[in-house]
Amino acid sequence: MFSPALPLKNKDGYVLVVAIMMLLVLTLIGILATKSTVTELQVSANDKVQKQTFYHADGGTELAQHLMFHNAICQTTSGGFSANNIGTNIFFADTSFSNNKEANDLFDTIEDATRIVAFYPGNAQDDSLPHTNFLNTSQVVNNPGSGLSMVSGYDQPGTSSVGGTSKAFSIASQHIGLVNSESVVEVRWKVGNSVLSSASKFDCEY
Amino acid sequence: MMQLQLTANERGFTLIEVLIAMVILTIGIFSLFSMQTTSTISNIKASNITTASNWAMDTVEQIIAMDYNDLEDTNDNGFAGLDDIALPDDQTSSDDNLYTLYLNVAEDYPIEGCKTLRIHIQDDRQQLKNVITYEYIKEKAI
Repeated sequence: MFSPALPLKNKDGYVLVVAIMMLLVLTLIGILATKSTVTELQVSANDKVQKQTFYHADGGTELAQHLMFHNAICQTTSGGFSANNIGTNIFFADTSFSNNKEANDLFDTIEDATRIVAFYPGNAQDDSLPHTNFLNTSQVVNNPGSGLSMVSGYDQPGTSSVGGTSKAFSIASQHIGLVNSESVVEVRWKVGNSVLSSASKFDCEY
Repeated sequence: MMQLQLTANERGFTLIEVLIAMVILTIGIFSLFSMQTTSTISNIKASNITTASNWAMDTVEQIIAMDYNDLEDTNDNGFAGLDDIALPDDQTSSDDNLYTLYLNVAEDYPIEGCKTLRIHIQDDRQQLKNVITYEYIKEKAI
């Protein structure tokens, strides 16, 4: 007679069950291996993108220093850069940006909306493509020792009338790179006001 | 009595049963084997990406320390030649001959007084689809 309990007692075919169980274990091992491989690939790819973006931003600080210096020269001789563009790659929101004093914490405030200079490594001025933003502050500071030499009235041997002030810049460079990666590098940089004030109108190239 | 019962229960597997199980196990093991191979290859790829990007990073750091005038656009192809790895400004093979580094310089780009440097690392075993590219800008000391 057929009864529902009978198939459970029938042990025929358990080799197949054992084989499938073995496959199940092996499949689990395989899935774990694939999962860890995918993670490894993502780790190395992200690491690569992060480094690329960082060096774009770091190289941006060099460009920013150059722009800042020339803008400061143009600032003293002709009131800033003459055009809002240098070539097709560099765009200025403010042609006398070396006098910018607004932001206190450049690191947190730099973004597309607040930038002062934008650099597009390709030729298209498109913010959806990788680009670098700059933001800066500048401040006039006394050169080390200058205050003292002025007070002492040049009466000591070795003191001179050379003293004066410098312009201290803080420059933040933000690169927005591939897959929405983002990196900000901030540098401090100082240039003597004597250098700037001795510049002539012809030193302003832009 | 006990012995009799035991021997009565010891029945062998049928040939069909064993054959089906073997076929299924074999197919499964083959597919899992290819799964392992794929994951090994991908792991090698991940390792290659890391090696290449670390070498590129090392090169950028050395370029930062280099003199501005030592970086020359030897073939004079400027911005257009930045991605040209067939005709690079400088080329080095790694010690194990597995990677090649190409350096391209564009003088006075993006503006006069700055140089744009692009470093490409190519995996010579062709396991990476793309070359890994790093870019840096160097400025003439004021």
